[in-house]
Parts: sequence; structure tokens; C-alpha cells
Amino acid sequence: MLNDIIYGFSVALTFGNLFYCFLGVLMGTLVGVLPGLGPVAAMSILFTVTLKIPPVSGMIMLAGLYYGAQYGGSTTSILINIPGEASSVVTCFDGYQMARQGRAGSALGMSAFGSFIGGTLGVVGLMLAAPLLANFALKFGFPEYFSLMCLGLVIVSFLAKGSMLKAMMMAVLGLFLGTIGIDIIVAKPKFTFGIKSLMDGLGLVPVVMGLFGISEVLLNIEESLDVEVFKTKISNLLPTLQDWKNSIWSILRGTVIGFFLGILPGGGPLVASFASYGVEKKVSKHPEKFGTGAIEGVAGPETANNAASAGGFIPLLTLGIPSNAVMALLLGLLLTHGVQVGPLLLKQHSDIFWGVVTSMYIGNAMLLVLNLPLIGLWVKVLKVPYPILFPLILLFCVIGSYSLNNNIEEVLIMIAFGIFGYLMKKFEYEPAPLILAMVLSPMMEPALRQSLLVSHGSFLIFFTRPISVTLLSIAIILLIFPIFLRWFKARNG
Amino acid sequence: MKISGHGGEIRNRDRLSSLICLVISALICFGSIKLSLGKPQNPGPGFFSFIAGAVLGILSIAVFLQNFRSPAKEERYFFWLNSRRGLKMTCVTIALILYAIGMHLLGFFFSTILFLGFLLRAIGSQRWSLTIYISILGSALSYVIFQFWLDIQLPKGIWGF
Repeated sequence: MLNDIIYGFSVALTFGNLFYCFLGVLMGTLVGVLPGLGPVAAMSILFTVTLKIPPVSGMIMLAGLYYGAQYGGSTTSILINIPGEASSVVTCFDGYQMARQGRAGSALGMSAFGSFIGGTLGVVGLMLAAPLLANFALKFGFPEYFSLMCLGLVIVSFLAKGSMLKAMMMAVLGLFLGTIGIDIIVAKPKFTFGIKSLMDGLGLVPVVMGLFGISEVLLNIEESLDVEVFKTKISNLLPTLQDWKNSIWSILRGTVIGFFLGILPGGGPLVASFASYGVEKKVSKHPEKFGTGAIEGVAGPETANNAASAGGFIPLLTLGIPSNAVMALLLGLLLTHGVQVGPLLLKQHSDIFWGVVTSMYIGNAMLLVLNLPLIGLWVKVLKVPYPILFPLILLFCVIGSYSLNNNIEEVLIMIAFGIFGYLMKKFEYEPAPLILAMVLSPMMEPALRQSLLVSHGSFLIFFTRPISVTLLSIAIILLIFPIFLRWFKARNG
Repeated sequence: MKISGHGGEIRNRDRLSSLICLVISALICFGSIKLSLGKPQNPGPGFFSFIAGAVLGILSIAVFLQNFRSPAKEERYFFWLNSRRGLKMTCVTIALILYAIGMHLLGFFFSTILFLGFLLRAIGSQRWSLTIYISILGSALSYVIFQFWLDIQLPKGIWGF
């Protein structure tokens, strides 16, 4: 493994990759600071750029953007009580209160250090766990892959914020959307309606840009965003010894919680940050202080969301299965470059695996340097009014969609999904299960068909192979659990 | 179920959305049958999408019934928080569509100036001077960055650029 790490650093420390890492983390911080533009939309806008550079450089840049956004999101949570990212929502509870008490510097500083520790330890975990999991996944055949992907979609739905049924509806709709295009076995167009752009399938980037970028802008135009940046002199960014004493165990707990929740499909930084906050409040000797400026309420969640962003890479890099919309985009990037994903990625493209992993150490260090001294700059950026920002966001979305294939139809698809995404949010349906399923569908369909070919049409193949039946059993338990819980509650009044 | 009222009042949005999804699932199943389902031993191109459509239909019915069983949850929900802002949002959508279609006619540079100008002035209510400044600067910078630096072929209109 030491040789692999050294090899990884030799890939990550080239001038070009260092530049792309820096660009990614810088833009990630900017995206995190700016409310209204999330990492998924920003990554999809930059997707076109990554097509012109080697895949390892593209992965390094987009990965940097992803975990960089987790750093940046805390700035707005603390200073203006508006989370820059969904995963920074809980930081508002205590971070803003700390700012109101004149402790904005401590909050921002501890958030940055916690993010650094969580991110770095998360990468260590990724480095240790990924090769083991990749070896195990070599035993997977078509039935196992199909069952694993089914489990992934069930977990995403289970962990959804709102109704599990509605999340599953979006997942299944995503599976259908993923079938659009030319059938790989009989070469027949499916649901293309004669539209040339759809022959290669629905593009992931226009769909993601629409669902996450355009729809968010449309929603923000509806709501008034009169924000006031907290007018306080931000000083003493280095946390005191007492701050460290109060936070160190929160940081360590946040790392473990975040890392393992990040691995789960649908888990990720958002779930990790909420889980960490809940745990900190539970174990605290003074839970009543949470919500009034408890530094543990900032340190734990901010650590967890960065550890989760590292953990989220594990299913992608070892199994070729994305755990959230961000990973789905990264998967799209690898597939576009013709890189075969799955357990063999480690062996056949070790430069990508180890290059990305080691770049995350470098990126986390860059972010610590960027976030602390440049707080003043990020505060200035926050002052850009949204009525000026949103036209530029829309412009970049249009360029991003168009530039993929120089095709206006892709822009129109993006706009259609923007409207659809707006309606989804109005009717309280989550877009993440749809995106995940859309990406998994082209892998699930052949896995299902091949399994049935091998078994001569018998679905029992999924229940007679030990790994497959284990995965499906977990999926079934998760599906039944809410029904059982409701029955149990009704029974006990 | 009712869609009416100032600003767009909707009751029972789950019932409405689940019915829409049920119709979509029926269309998916119908389209999949036309593609050919094949047999389990040799699934056809419509097999997987039919399963997806059928499952969507079942889940839609479950959401509908779940909502139907608890009428106490019926709510008055305004689709748009404010009808003026809802109108702004509609205008932005139409502007996006016209921008996308108009790019090939007017070219990227001029269509972007018009697009940004409209959004900044009509939607964002910015001063004329700021609107003109940002529209031209934004359009020019994007053109330079994407066309020359990133080598992306942006649409050329009747002006040739």
C-alpha cells in the first residue's frame, strides 16, 4: 500500500493536477459560500471542461469542488444564518448564535479545522477500506450487481427526507428515464420519439443541471432573499484551547459517523451532519446549550459532512456504484472518458484511484489555507445580490448544456427538467433518487437480462446465490420496516 | 381536489401528483408492450421499462390511497407564494426557452446580451446602467472564456459570431 500511496502522490503532485485541485477547491468554496448554487449544479456546469482534460485531472477537480463546497457552506451558515449547502443547515443552529455572541471567528475557525480533520481522516478510511471492498466485489456476478443496485435504491429511498414511497416513485421513474435510447441488445430505439438527441439516451448533465440548477433558481425567484450579512469584526480565527477541549471528541465522533454514513447510498454529508448533531446533543452533559451557541454543535456536524464526502467515494471507486448525485456525475465523467468502472478500476486505472485519493489530502490542506485567511473575501462575495447572481447561473447552465454536443436540444431538455424539478420540489418529491436511478438503470437492465438469460428465465437466481440473497433480504427488511413501525405504534396507541 | 384561487390554491397535492404518476406509469407500460416484452428466458427491450412502469403505478396507487385514507390532512396550499413572483418565474422560464431557440439566429453574443439584460432589468429590477454593464461584460467574458479558452463552438448567428 505504501507504494500505491507514493504512486498516487506522484500523480497528484504534477503541476497540472495541482492546478486542477486548487481550481476545484477554490470553486467549491465559492459554490459553498453562495446560496442558490449547489455543488451538483456547479459540477455539471464544469463537466464540459473535464472532457478536454485527462480523466484523472477531471476527477481531481470535480472531487475538489465537492468537498470544497462542504467547507464553504459553513461560512454563510455562521454569518447570515442561511446554509450555503444543505449539509450546513445544522451549523446555522449554533454557528449563527456564536456569531451573535461575538464568537464568529471561533465558529469559522473550528468549522475549518473540523472539516480538515474529518476530510483527512475520511481519506485515510477510504484508502484502507476501498482495496478490501474492491477485492470482495470481484466475486460479484450479474445477479449480485443487480441486487446491490436494488439495495442502493431502497436505501436512498429509506433515507429520504420526506415520504419513502414518494422517493421510491422517483427512483423508479429514474429507472425508466435511464432506459431511453438505443437498446444495447437488439439496437432498437426506446422512447426516443424520433428525437435524435435521445438516441444516445438522456444526457446526465442536462438533467442534473435542470433538476438542481434551473429549478433552484426558479424557486429562489419565488422567495425573497433579503439577506443581511452579520456585521461583526471577525477576529481570532484560531480556536482557543478551551474550544479544542470542548470539541475534540465531537470531531472524532463526527469523523466516524460521517465516514460510515457517507458510504451508504443516499447517505452523504446532509444525513451525516444531522446525525452528528443529534449524537452530540444526546451525549452532551449540557444538551440545553445546543441552539444557543454550543461549539460542539458546529464542530461535530462540520467534521461529519467532510468525512462523509470522503466516504461517498468508496462505492463509486470500488463497485462503480454512485452513492449520491455527485458521485453519479463523477461516474458519468469516467464513463465518458471510456474508463471501465467497478472493482477492476483499482487494478486497471490505479492512476485514477490513487491520484484522486491522494489529491484529497492535498485538497483538504489547500482548503484549510483558503478558508481561514480568505474569510474576508468570502464575506464580500456574499454581498453580491441574488438578482445579479441568478442570470449568471442560468447563463452558465445553458452554456454547460449546449457545449456537451453543440446541441440546442440538450438545452431544451435541461429547461424541461428545470420545470420538472421545480414541480417536484413544490409537490415534495426528491430529485436525488431519480438521478441515482437514472445512472444505475443502464447497468441494472443488462444485469437483470443477463441474469435471466443465465437462469433460463427463473427469478430464483437472485435468491439462490448467497451474496445476492443477503443484499435483497436487507432491501426487503428496509421496505417492511416503516410498515412494521407504523403497526407497532398503532398497536401501542 | 381543486386548483383555483388567487396565486394558485391546490388541495391534496399528493393525490394530484400520484394520479399524474399513475397516468405516466400507464403510458410507460403501454409503450413497453409496444417495444416487446419478450419472455423471462429472453427478455425483450420493453421488459425492464415495463417493470419500472408497473412498479411506478403500484406506488402511485399506494400514495393516493394513503392520502385518501386520511382526509384530515387536506390542506390549503398555495402553489405560488406570491402571484407576482410566480409570474416572474414564468417569465424567466419563457426567457430561457426563447434564449435557447434564439441563440442560433442571433448568435451567442447578442442573444446573451438580450437574455441577461431582460433578467437583470425586468426580473431583477436593476438600474439601467448596471444592467447594460453586466449584460455586455458577462456576454463578452463568457464568449472569450468558452469560445477561445475552452475551445467550445458557440452558436454563430446571422452576424457570423
